[in-house]
Amino acid sequence: MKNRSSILSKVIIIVLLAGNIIWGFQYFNLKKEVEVSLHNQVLNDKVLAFTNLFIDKVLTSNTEVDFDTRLKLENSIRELENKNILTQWQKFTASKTEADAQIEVKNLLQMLVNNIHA
Amino acid sequence: MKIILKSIIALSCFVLIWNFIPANLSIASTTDGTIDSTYKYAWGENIGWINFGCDNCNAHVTDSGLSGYALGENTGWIYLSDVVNDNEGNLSGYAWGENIGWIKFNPTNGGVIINSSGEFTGSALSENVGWIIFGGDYKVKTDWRPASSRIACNNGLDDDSDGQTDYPNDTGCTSISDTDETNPATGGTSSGSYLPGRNPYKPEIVVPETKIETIVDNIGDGIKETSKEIINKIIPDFLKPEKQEEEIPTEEIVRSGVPQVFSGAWNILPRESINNFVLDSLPADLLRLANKFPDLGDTLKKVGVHKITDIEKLMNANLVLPGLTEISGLPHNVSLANLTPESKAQIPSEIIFARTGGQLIDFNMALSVDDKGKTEQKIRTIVGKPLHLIVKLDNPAKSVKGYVVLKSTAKESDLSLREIISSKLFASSILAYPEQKPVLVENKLVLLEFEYTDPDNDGFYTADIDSSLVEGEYEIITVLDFEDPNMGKKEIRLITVVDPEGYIYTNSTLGKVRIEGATASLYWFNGATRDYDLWKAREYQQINPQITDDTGKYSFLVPPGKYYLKVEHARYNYYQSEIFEVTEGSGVHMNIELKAKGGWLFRMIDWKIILVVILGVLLIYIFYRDKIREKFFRNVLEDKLKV
Repeated sequence: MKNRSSILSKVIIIVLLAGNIIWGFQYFNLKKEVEVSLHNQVLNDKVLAFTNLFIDKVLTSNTEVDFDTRLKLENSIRELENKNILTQWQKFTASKTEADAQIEVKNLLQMLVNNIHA
Repeated sequence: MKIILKSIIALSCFVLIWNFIPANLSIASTTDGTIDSTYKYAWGENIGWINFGCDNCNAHVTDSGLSGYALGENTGWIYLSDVVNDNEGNLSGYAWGENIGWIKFNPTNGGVIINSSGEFTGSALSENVGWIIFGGDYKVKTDWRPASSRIACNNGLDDDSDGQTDYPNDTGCTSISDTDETNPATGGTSSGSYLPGRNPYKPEIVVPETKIETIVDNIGDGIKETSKEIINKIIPDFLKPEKQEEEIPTEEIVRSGVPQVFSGAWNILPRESINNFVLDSLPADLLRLANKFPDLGDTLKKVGVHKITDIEKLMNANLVLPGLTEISGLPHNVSLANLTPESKAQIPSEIIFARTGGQLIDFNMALSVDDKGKTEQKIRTIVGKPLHLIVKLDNPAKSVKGYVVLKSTAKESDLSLREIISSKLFASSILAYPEQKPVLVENKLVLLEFEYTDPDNDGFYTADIDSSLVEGEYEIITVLDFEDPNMGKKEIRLITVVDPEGYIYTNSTLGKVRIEGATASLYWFNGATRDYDLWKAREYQQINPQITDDTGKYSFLVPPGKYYLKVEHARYNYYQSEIFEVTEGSGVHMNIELKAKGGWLFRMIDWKIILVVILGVLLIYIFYRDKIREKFFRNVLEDKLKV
């Protein structure tokens, strides 16, 4: 009788442990998904903020972009932590001709839009 | 084994701790100071906290001044690089706040000083938001020190005038915290001092306190460096923190000059493509049509369709191109042969016109424009009706060939899937354009191939075909092969929708039943007699009245006018439609229901039902007779038994 209850308790422990492992696994998976989702949300906000600033201060401006705005732009683009976008931005800022700038700005805008997660 | 395990755990803990040590922890510099991570806030009496040590501030204090930014909680960025330091911590000059303007660091009744402890003290004055207070509860601290209060080996000065400055350049400095730059004495002389009352032969070496600190610091530095080297050797590369590429501070990039893209002199957005999209003229197809049909051009102008973005206005519009008769400005019922040369000259070239009814009825050509500006001409006819196609050419052609291909059927056709797919590939909705590549025609793809002819050489090529016997959407492709090799070949496409014929039926218990032998007569309003007469179909190569076969079908293709339809049958009540108006080239093919004579009873009862009823009555009668006979025999038997 004693032996039987001991087996039963072992089984219960194993089941509980297995349950914990499974739920724990699911919990961490879910947590990861939520984190990814939150990260994407934050990233989207940053991309949109930069795009907004870029359109507002650069694309629609007919005058020279002032120091503060350039600094803000530089900081904003670095906050995206996206190497490709940063490289594209650097290509854009390093444009030597108007035609180059037009090509690079198209690429930059395309890259920004592509980096907005649905 | 336990020892190894403990070692691994200890090493792991160490690795963890090592990873958590901030990567940007650096040794303080008294000549190029950063802002303390705790004491970094000044207070603006009207603008609240100002953070000198924010993540992107990168504020530095050097002997010549401040650099970098401060961030106001309510006012945004403050540019510090115009603030001057006199080497002793007395600040002057101006900072520039993006939203608050100039901030003076040495105003009357104020001023900011960095003291020997690296603390900012005093107050600066903003032109717009008043005093900004440093010190007291609002501490901003740096590791920069005034030159006079620095340690000799880290003060940026050549204290011993030996041409060498600070550690490690000056050989007199043993570390950065060495307080004496003087080179150590050579030739056995002692650095000690003789004190009165002491034995001059046994001199006591007195080490200054600062020197002791230096020695302790040196030992500490040595241990640090050695332990770092050992740890570096022990820890495998993959456990070491990733080497981060040195990033150029943003303000350095920004300060390096205004890139040309930000000069405001360029059109960064490619205006050409935008202009092409917004301001481009109408598509070539539509322009060509507007040129060929001046009325269409006028209409487009009137409704404000001038550029490609206006095309949307046309997408749901019902545009109709005029027929041959209308273009030539002649009354109806004139065949091509009877047109005057002047009238013929008005007919646009390279447009397919379709007629029927012995060339006397023009088809309405509906014009539709899709979202890409492609035009499509469409006519509607009825199954099996003749089509007379006309195309005018301004230049002589070697041949003008036509092909009828299937676009879609209203119901399943007998064509195989492969044939339908091939046919669909072959067909596309383009009005008229120079042929891009030769039309590869396989007999399998094309439902009908025909040739246009111009027997009188007047430039009008004509062809007579019958519309398909299967209702659906077809495309008539006309290929113009010009004699002039420079003109090459051209294709003209015309969509032809083939509608089903109308039929006459009655509703019975079995559903819709087509009526055979019904007479469909079409009456038209005769302007001369001011009355409705039987339409003269013979003039239009048709029959009126039409007697239906077992399919119950009938149809008329009629010129414009007012009409009504009458259907008669011996067993049914006659039907007369309301008066209706027909526009150019439309067919009369409505489905008509006839009702049986005798009301609902006759409609319900047909010969089958009567037969069933008779059989039922016969069965009942047989049962009745059997019963009577049985009863009779039973009575006879009972009587015999009694007897």
